[in-house]
Amino acid sequence: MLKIDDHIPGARIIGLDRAEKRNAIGVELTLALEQILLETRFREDIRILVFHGIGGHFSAGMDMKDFFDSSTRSPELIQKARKATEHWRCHLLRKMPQFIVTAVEGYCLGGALPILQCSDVVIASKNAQFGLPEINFGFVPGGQIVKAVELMATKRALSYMALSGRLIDANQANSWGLVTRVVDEEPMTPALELVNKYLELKSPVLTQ
Amino acid sequence: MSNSVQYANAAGESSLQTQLERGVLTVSIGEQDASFLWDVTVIHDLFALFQKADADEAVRVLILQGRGPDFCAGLVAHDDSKDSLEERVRIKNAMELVQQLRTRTLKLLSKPIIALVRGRCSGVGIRLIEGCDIVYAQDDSQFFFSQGELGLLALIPGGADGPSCMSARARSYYSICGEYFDGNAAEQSGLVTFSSSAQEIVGAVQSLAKTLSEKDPLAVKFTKDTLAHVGSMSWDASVNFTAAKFAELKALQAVSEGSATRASAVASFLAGKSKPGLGR
Repeated sequence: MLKIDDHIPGARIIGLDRAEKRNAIGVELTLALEQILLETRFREDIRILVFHGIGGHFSAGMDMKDFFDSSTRSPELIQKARKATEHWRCHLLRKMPQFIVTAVEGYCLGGALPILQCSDVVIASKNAQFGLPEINFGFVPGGQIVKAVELMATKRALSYMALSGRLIDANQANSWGLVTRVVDEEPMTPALELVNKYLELKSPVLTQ
Repeated sequence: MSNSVQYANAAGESSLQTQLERGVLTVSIGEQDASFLWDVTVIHDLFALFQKADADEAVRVLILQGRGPDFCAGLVAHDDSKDSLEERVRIKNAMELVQQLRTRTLKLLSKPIIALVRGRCSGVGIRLIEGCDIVYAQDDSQFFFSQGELGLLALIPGGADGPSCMSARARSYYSICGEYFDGNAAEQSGLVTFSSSAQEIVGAVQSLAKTLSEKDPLAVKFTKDTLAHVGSMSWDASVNFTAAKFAELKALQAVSEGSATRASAVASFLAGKSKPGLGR
């Protein structure tokens, strides 16, 4: 569910690894995210985190098959997964002492947006698409997701995305505050360049 | 065209012209081919119209626009010939209504509202569009916090009482200096959602209105509730709010004939027949 890469000393690269589902956040993936953040939070040797998606998309959001009406998972497991989800996106991510860089390509929808909001830098490829598509299914975007978007984007952006269900492109996301920088190439290259620059900084305490 | 609710008054004296077509209620304010100053009557007419539209199931989306060249050329705030206690009370009550419209009525309206701004949009117009969900402005629109309205609208220097959707710096600057700013600057400041060319703006608004009119009305109402409330909540409170809203929405959709979209959209998506989540 997650591909963890620690090959750069001082950095941890967390890849969402569920390409066949466009990295939709299902039960196993959300439990793995909570676990890796718990394990990373007090690691003083890790100074920077990088989130990215494997397979051409960052994440299509929460997995409908696992969490919503048609779920075939046991109620106990769903409850455990929901609790884990609220833990990492409402609390854990916000308390991480590490600098966070997120590289986005392809879809970045719904439940994936709190990761962006907790990131210090978001680098998106030109093909990245962002949105709150819940209303297209007759759902409502979760309050936690709405709150996260409101903290990083304009109120107008939030209303448009939530009510229309339309996706926006990387340049619009940049203009509305969801993204720091839009790049032509795949976004991991500039993200890793940023990691190296960050690790060269003399005083990690000052950057936290 | 549906006539389920009469929006303009019977004598034809209403300051508003309305047209309801396929769930989209277009409200045009003022007079055609003429600059139009709003007065207390316009504000009362708008307030009454929103209350009617909220209760009318035939209305799925509202579009608010100026009927003439301007969205709102200004407000007839004070008429010296009627400088009586009654007139001042009437104006102050109308200002209270504007405050209620921008801070509460429009945000809690169960239907989405799109504002289409062309020409001038003065302080009271800005207050109204602040409460709208999505705002399109023509590139060459002219926004301004009218000095003539400042006394009544009580914009606090520094902009603390200005439109909350604007960036703090833009709010402070424009509320103090009184400069005009165009659609592009309004978009950059967060006051409007999009700035658009004269050739494209009507098509863009109509396309969006059609998109919104096709959404499940219950989901739209609950989404607006979420947008209105969660920003001021703690994270834990937002989780509880969402759980309660999901349960309420699901219960209401189960008995609502007009809310078949949820089950069919989910089933279609899971069967791989469509991708409504991606706008298809």
